[in-house]
Amino acid sequence: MRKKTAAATAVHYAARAILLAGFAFYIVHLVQSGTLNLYIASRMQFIVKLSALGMYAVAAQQLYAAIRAWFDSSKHVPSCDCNHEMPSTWGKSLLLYGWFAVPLIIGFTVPDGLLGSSMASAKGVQFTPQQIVQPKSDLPTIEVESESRDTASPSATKSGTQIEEAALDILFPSDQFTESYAKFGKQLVKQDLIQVKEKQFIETLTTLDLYRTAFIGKTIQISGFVYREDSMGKQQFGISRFAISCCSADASPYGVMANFGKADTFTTDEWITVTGKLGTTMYNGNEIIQIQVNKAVKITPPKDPYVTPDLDFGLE
Amino acid sequence: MPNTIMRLGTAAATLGCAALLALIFFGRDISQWSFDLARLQTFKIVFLSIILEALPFLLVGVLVSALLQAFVSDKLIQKITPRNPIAGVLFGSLLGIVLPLCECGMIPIVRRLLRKGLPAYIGLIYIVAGPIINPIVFGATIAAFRTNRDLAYSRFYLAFLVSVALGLILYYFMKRNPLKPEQQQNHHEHNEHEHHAHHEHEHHNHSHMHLHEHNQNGGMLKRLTDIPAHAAEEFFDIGKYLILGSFITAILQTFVARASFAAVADHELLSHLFMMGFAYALSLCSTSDAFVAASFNHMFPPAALLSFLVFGPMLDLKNTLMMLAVFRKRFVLKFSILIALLVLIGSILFDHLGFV
Repeated sequence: MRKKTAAATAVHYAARAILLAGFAFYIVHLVQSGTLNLYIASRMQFIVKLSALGMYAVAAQQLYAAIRAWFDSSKHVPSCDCNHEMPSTWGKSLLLYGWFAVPLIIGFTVPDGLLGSSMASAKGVQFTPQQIVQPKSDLPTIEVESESRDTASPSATKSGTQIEEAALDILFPSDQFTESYAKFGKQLVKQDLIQVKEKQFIETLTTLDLYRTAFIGKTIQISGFVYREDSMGKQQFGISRFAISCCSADASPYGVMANFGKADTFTTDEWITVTGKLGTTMYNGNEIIQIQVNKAVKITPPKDPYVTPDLDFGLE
Repeated sequence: MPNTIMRLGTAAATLGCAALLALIFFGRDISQWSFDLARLQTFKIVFLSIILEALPFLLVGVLVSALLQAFVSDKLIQKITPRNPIAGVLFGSLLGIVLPLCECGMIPIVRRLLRKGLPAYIGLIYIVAGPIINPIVFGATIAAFRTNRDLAYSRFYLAFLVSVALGLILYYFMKRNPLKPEQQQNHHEHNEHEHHAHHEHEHHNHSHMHLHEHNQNGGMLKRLTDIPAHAAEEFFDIGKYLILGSFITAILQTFVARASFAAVADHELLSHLFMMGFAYALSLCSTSDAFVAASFNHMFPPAALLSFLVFGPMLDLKNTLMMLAVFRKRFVLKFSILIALLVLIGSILFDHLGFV
């Protein structure tokens, strides 16, 4: 009888060791194949890797306990002094360990794919990122203030740099929340080609959207996946990226509308880089920014498909 | 009987899942719903990313619990616990600052502390306040709500007020020990952590305390080597709720369009109740729930997000199941209703006073 329970205990420990090692191995597998980027934001990856080490250590201990329980059946081997109990029946054990195997089975069998349009449409792509910093009701004040630019700009061309800066101030009105965006916008507006870079993807889009009057007519370059909605026109599609903070569960899609005569040459979820002039369009009752595309190229998806909010934005 | 409750709990969770699935399948036009690879891959990414991200925190939780078990004596706990109820309530609310854990690791630790002589009301406040009022969660919340600092700070003020109120109510009205009576004869509590009565060996008749002291006197090396073993046990006890929670979340995120929530979002009371129910069902770890809440920004009013942020860590599907394994059923029910009411009233008040 005692022999039998000892064997059963050994099997329990062995099953646990395999599952724990399985999780650790899965993390290592993700790191080695470079697909951990799909799951975890880069700033959180270190602790996930550390946890793989921890799981290995615990798995090794469980394996050791299994071996001891198997050979040392005469002695009671408490797993720890507080003695957790093993599931009481085989059925329950199978259920418990089977449940833990589910994520591993899914992890190893389902091929990795990028988050794309299906997730984006479930979450709703953010085409007006200025809402992050600016509640909807505040929109008109920005428009009104920036209209005064027309009266200010002639004097700016006449006079020196000081007045030019004053004009920029009028072009980029700000409060405490939008201050850093205004500052960033003043740098961007001087560039001939405004590239929406990965590092400050959300911040750049927010700036373009927030101070759209300053940027209309400027040339913009942006990369992302093609996203389509039923309410878009035939020549329209969104260029989107998912932003994540911790892991892909908190992914939220950001994007900009593109208008391109040969839009149908690109399939949904394809990754492209587009270059074109910024304009606006009406979409679902809101005026949003839109790129009038001159040039579009297919690209391979970047290794890290996500963008993250730049926590240092406005602090440097 | 804990095993009955466990069975009921598991059955309830299964039913909940089935109902959810049914809603998802039949609530929408089936012809529109095609099970393509893209969706499966999306599901996989969300499901595994939550598990992967929670693993390190879960491991830290079980390690701290194991360390407490091994190195903090009952006497020390009794010595540092305040006698005065007001001081006790404050102690319980702010304990999370020195013992920062997410709720995954909380309940086993609290039971350990209660058995080591911590008054019940303090332990219970720690269960509700600890997952919010701690530096890790503070950092995560501030990061997620960089542009809405008011909401981030409100989360901590409201959590503090709710837990102080809860603590005082518990102190004055809780007459019985909320812990379940010991199950000396019953060997089926597989969610239990500390019932030494299970040992079928020479210590058969020894009391818990005795074994505890026995443990305390074990060598340093023995205590250290026990830690991974303990961590494994706890990983399997708590991990199953984590996997269930991630599973439900992944299904919701993959298959339910955010736009379909819009109908509830406009109604004040409904939006609060919905977000609280949502937090309950998702059972997210408090270290990452702020990011999920942030993704609902602009869809729900900030006050409803506040309900989500405060209620979720205090009470969710995962920790109800865990509490039922430790506390009496009636107590858990009353406690849960009390938390829900306090959070609801609190966040509506915060809204009308203009804090969020």
